[in-house]
Amino acid sequence: MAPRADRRAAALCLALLAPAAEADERSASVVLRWQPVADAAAYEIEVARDPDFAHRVVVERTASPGYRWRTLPDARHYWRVRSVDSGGRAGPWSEVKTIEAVLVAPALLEPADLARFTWDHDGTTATFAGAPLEVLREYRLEVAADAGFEKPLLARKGPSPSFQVGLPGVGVFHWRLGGVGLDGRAAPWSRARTFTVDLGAPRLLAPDPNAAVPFGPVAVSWETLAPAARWRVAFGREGEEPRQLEASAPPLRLAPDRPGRHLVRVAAILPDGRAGPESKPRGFVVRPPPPLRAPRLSAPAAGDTLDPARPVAFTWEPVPGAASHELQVAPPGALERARPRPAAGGSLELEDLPQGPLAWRARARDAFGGAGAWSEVWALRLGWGPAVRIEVAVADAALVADGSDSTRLTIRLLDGEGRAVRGSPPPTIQVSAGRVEGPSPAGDGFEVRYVAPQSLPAGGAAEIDVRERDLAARTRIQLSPKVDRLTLAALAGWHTDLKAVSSPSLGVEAAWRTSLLENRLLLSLRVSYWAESATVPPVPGLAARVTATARVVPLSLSAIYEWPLGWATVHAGAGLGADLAFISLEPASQLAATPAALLLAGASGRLGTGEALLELSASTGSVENSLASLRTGGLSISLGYRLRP
Amino acid sequence: MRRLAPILLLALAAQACSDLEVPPPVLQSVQPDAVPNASDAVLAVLGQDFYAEVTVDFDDPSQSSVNVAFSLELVHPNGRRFPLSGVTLVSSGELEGTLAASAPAQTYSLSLVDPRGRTATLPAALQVYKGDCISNPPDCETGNPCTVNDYCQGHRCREGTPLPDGTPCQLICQSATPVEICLGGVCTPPLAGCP
Repeated sequence: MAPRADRRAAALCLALLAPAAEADERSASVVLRWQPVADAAAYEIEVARDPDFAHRVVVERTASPGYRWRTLPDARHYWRVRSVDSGGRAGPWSEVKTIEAVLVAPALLEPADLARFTWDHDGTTATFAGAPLEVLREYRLEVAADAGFEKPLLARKGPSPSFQVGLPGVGVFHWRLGGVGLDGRAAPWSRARTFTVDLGAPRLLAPDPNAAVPFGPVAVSWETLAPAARWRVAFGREGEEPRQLEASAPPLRLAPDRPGRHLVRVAAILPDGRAGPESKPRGFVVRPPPPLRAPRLSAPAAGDTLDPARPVAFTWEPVPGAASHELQVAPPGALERARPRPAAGGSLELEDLPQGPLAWRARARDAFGGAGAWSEVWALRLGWGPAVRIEVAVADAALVADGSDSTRLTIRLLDGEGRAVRGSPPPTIQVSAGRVEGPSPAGDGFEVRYVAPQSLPAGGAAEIDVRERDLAARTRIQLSPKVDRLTLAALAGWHTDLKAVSSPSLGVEAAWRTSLLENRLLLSLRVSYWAESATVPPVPGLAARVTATARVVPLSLSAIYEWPLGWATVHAGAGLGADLAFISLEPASQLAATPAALLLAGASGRLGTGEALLELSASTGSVENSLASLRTGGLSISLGYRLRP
Repeated sequence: MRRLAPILLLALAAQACSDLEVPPPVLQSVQPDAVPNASDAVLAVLGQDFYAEVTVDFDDPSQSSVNVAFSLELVHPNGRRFPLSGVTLVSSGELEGTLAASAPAQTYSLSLVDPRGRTATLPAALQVYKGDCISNPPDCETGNPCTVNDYCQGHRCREGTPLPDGTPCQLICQSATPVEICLGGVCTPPLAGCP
């Protein structure tokens, strides 16, 4: 044991060194060191919240003259140490030293309190920065509209105390910084600072400064600002009171009413109705409109002759961009001096025109009174000269006398120079057979529909007489008899393959009379039916009766040509088809098909409303399968009757 | 080729409408069901779906192709077969054939092969007995080695008194000495089968 004097000396030699906070995430701690005491076997160390050590947070014994306090204090603490000799006797306490708080809020650097920002384009950012602290591993930023930060508008985290963020909106806001210590505990928030964001003036994008734009709608465009709810646009000619317009979004199409230099300004309006500053005025020039082109005349057609008893309707295609049109009409040679007659659109009806040859033209005027080019000059004649002949044109001069076939006739009255005479009363029309529908005015004449009679008249043609006063014309329509295209026939007869098969047969036919070969070529679709059975004679080992039955349905499509011979008609034809054979042999059955060819010849004669026919046909075809072998071809003779539905 | 297309379609349709399936033959009974082995016996075999294989020539039915080769055989329990001769197709429900005399007394099953090669079997189809059962009650032998004093009744040979269980007998196994024994009047081969 050391002498008491030595222990006192040792205690007196205790000298506390300044505590050091180590900024390492793994060893977030405060290191306490003191001068060693000779012969000290250990040291007792105390850390407390108060200088009287009533609230001690550390009471430890250590053998070395140092202690690592694994805490980053967020408030001031006090510490002291004393030595203990090998006999366990403690020396006096050292002086009391302080441990300053380490986990504190970062100091705010920028922006300064009460700073102002202007929102003059979207994406505007501001930098919020504080002083870095070694004991913080993460920094936090909060921006709020309320000073109590109860509803932060914006919160950011990061390893640096500097944050660049977009402005939260327009108005007054508060911001503060905080952090997280290396030991994971949150550092206190800094004192809040205040900043203000003012709404700026929008930037105009179009039209370009001093641009010269054509007369017409002008698109005004500007950069939008996110806080704005709508926009106020001031627009007008330079030196005049501008028009105030409101727009929900760019672009805004403006319609200058006159050419000249114009100015436009734009201001943003917040949802609460407050308006921001106006943009700088943007000047541009609206060029005068180009000269209007000449109208294209429509009616009356050049060279027309018109009824003097009716007003003359002049029409032309309106010129795009024209505010109005005007028309000149006068006898040829006096047109240049004629008074222009105003017209709002593309037509004008006049009643006071002199009879005889006239000339007319039209032009457009723009909104400022500027006249466009004159159209070409068209001639017309008001009041017609005497018609000298009637022209009749027939669209189809050959019809079928079926009561419905028809054709269109175009009738024109022509003067001595071959010009159509308009406005004359409709001509009278008489037909020798059939009927007419009309006449009705069409083009520069009349149109009539001629309908053929139900039956062929004597001579096989219809005469059409057209009369107007003392003029007359006649035309002829050739008529042909009606042809029944579709016929249906039923046939009954006998079929044999010239061997064992011999059976009655039935059939039906649908035929279409084509218009080929003077209506003498028919396409015939036939379906027939016949049946046959065969019994196998007894053989050794077979005492049972074995009988097979075949039901045959020949299908054919034939081309048949007819030769009329007085009251009778002879026909011959050829065709292709298929024979369907349904063969049953107890207990099995099978449907077989075979291609078939057909030749036929016969004669027919009228009987009642139709015609009776007698026909002989020869066909090929055979089937062979596991049940039977059968020749489906052979000779058939049939009697039938053909109807016209 | 285009003209053939409709024909091919018709042919396909024809295939779809065909029913070429001939049902297999079925054996139902033999008349009479018991015959003596002293003389030839004409047997009527009854059943259904007895069909010859025929392809009918409609132009000349006598030239039709006919296959009426039905094969009928009696099968002894030991596997020996006794074919019937003169088998004739009487109808789709009846065949007729003749069993030659001297077949061993026994109850036989009947086997049929039709012209299409399909088979049918009728177990215990016919009893062939030894003796004369025209009048009752002369003796007869059913062929069961495990009964004695067989007797005629109703023109049929009935089994008499069964031999005691364990009596050696020979029916199926072809060994030189009997290896089968009677059990309940039935000659029964060893559990391991015939040696």
